[in-house]
Amino acid sequence: MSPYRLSAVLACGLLLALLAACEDPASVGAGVGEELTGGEPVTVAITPSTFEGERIGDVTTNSTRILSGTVDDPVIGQVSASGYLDFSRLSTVPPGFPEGTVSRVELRLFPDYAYGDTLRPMRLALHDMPNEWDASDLTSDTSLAAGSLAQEFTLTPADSVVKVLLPNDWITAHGEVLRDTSEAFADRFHGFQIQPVDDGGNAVVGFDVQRSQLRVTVDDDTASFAINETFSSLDRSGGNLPPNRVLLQDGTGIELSLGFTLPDSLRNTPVNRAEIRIRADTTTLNAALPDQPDFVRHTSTSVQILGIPEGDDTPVAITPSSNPLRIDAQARLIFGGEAPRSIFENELLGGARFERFRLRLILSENTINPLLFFGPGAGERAPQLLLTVTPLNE
Amino acid sequence: MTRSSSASRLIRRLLLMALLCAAPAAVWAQSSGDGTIYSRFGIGELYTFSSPQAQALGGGGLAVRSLNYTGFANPALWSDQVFTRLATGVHLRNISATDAQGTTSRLSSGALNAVQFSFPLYKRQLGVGLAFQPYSRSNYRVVRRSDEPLQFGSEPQDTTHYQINYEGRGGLQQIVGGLGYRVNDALSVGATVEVIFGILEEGRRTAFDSSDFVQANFTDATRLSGVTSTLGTLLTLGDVFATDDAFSIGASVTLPAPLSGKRVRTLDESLDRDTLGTAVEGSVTIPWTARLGLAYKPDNRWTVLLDGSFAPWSNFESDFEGQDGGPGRFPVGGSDILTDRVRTSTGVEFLPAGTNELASFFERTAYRLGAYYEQTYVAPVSGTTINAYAVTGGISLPTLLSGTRIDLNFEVGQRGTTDNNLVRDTFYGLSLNVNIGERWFRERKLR
Repeated sequence: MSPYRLSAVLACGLLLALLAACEDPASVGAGVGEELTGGEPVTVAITPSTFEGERIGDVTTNSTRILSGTVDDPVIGQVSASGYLDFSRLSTVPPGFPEGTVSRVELRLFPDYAYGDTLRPMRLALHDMPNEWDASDLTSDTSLAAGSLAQEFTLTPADSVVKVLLPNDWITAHGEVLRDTSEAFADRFHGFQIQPVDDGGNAVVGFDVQRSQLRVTVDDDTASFAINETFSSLDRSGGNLPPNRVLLQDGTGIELSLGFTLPDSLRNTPVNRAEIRIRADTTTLNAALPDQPDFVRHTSTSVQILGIPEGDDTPVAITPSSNPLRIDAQARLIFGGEAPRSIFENELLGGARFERFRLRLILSENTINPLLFFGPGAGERAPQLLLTVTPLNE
Repeated sequence: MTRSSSASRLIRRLLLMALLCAAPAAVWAQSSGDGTIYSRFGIGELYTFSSPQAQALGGGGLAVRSLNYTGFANPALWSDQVFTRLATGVHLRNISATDAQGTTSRLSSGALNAVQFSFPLYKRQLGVGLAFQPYSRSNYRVVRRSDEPLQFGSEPQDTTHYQINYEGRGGLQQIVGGLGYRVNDALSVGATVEVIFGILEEGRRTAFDSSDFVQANFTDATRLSGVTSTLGTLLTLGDVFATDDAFSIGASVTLPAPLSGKRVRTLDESLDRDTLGTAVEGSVTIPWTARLGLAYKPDNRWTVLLDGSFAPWSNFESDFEGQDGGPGRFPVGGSDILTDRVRTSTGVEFLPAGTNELASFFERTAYRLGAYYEQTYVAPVSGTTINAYAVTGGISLPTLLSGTRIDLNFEVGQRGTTDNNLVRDTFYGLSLNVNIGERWFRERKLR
């Protein structure tokens, strides 16, 4: 090897050897001169300044389930539900249908949900809807004017199918409309209201809209009208909640309003981690009712969090409804990660803030499922905001 | 001119141009890695680089005349230029820092040495020097790990350990430009204008073992800039102690440098920086520096030199006050912990071949050894100065490209003490420098 190459190899080798020396920094030098201090993180537990149920209104339109019935839950309270459904004109018309005579009309309903006493019979009433109604964005605290009674029927919440035969006089009055296969059908027929009858039943039942149908027989042919518009109106009252509990309930529009007042001492402090912890009282809701062994109480476990910006009442989705937060196996709702961390850090650094948060139950179909949270007075199970911050000052 | 010499000249020029273009960016990046805790104070660890030759000879070189190197310690040396020269290199250093309890930190850092460009306007009479080089560096790092885990929730498993990193980053850079002029056979003078600028940062970063946590990263950053100047002179005498010897005396003074700027506290997370509080404006004044150097060449093979410098850093002034909710005062610890800087160095070089370009490779290799002592300008504890001692050395290797040398230097030393809660650094470093020289602006001969 020429001396030139040898010198190049030597130079590179020595530098690589030096580069390969490992770094191992330690606390040496912390006390040299003005001592290096600060940087110690602390965790602050903050109790909510606002923690209450608030009826906002649940949009129950065009769900795949309509609700009807009355249930009296000794803990949650009384809920009364009325369902509304309308039908689209026939897409497939049997031959001779428009010209024939309607001999039979049956509303076939498929229960897929029951909250309350599932074995006690209950009675519902079918009313005509006299006027056209639009279900767009109707909230559950709205009620629509119903018309004359078409039929009453009895069912047991555990039934798999309910067949409601319309009486002959109703068929006579509506037969010609039902045979209208033109676009005018929607303007002439406006569906039904299904409301509870006070007869001793104790359940709210949900009917699967996709399977339920209005079956009309003309001569020997039967055509099925599909449901194309639905709405459930709900009314809630009473209840006997244990102390320091806050109720959320699907369908009734009760949401949790949550707010925190951050201490001034944390201004301009970066947030390393933020977590909202709320404990659910699953014991109370899972407890069986001694005098009603067949009482079924479904509970909710999925929650969406929205934020109400300061100075603006329009809620902003903080967690997506498609990916809700869930109660974990320890009955805790935990909202953590980057979203709450950046929200609270933004507030501490003087940026925009949320005046309060709103927790909303998220379910794909209509229900009246409740969720019970422990409130601020519940001791160790009280809700908390856990902020880990690194104070500026040393 | 043969094809091979034309090709080698083309290679040299291309290399020169590439380095000229890329070097400023590289110097701007300055350094990476961690260094001495003493770089936390003042304006950081001061950086001294005259030439690769001077670096190996203790770091002085105020009076060393050389056709192979352009010394930037004294602008009067630039009057001697024959070649157009570009020099640059890298410097790597390892530090083992020990405190009184025997705890040791191992730290390493790397930096680009100065990029220096020089050329003669009139051969051996008037020359130009340009350099882009570090002026100071702050690269300390102290790590403190939590003794007890942080409890962040009520559950027993809601714990995590964390680590606090106290870090210095950045430093000041210097752009130097000037002239050296030979008045007569014995006397040369020179002057430079120097722009000093940069950002010094004191950072504090809290990092957690758990990935659920985002680290908090504060930085107090001081941005400074200003202008100063250096005046230099060189007296060269021949036949002083022996026939054909050369004795040179060099002196220079750098004027006080007023630097002004801003100081701001930021919160750094990912790519964003949020400013906390308001920026504080202020200024500092870096004191003057006087240097004196002696160089003696008994013949064309040996060079011996002795250098000294003094800077009254006890006169350093700063009006950057601390701010509630904002950055602290600058410099850290105040101006009272700064003391006068004194540096002395010595070195010897042996070039067996002398001026014989046809000698063997090892005879044309230069061998160097030096040493220095420095009373640094920081004294974090009143009454206790921080002194540094080091042995330097290196070899200068000739290359196939005439006028171009590769210098490999080393430095081993110690700084500080473990008394009074201070730290003793034991450091060793290596430098690799490339020094390219070529004749440009050659007069064409008439046919």
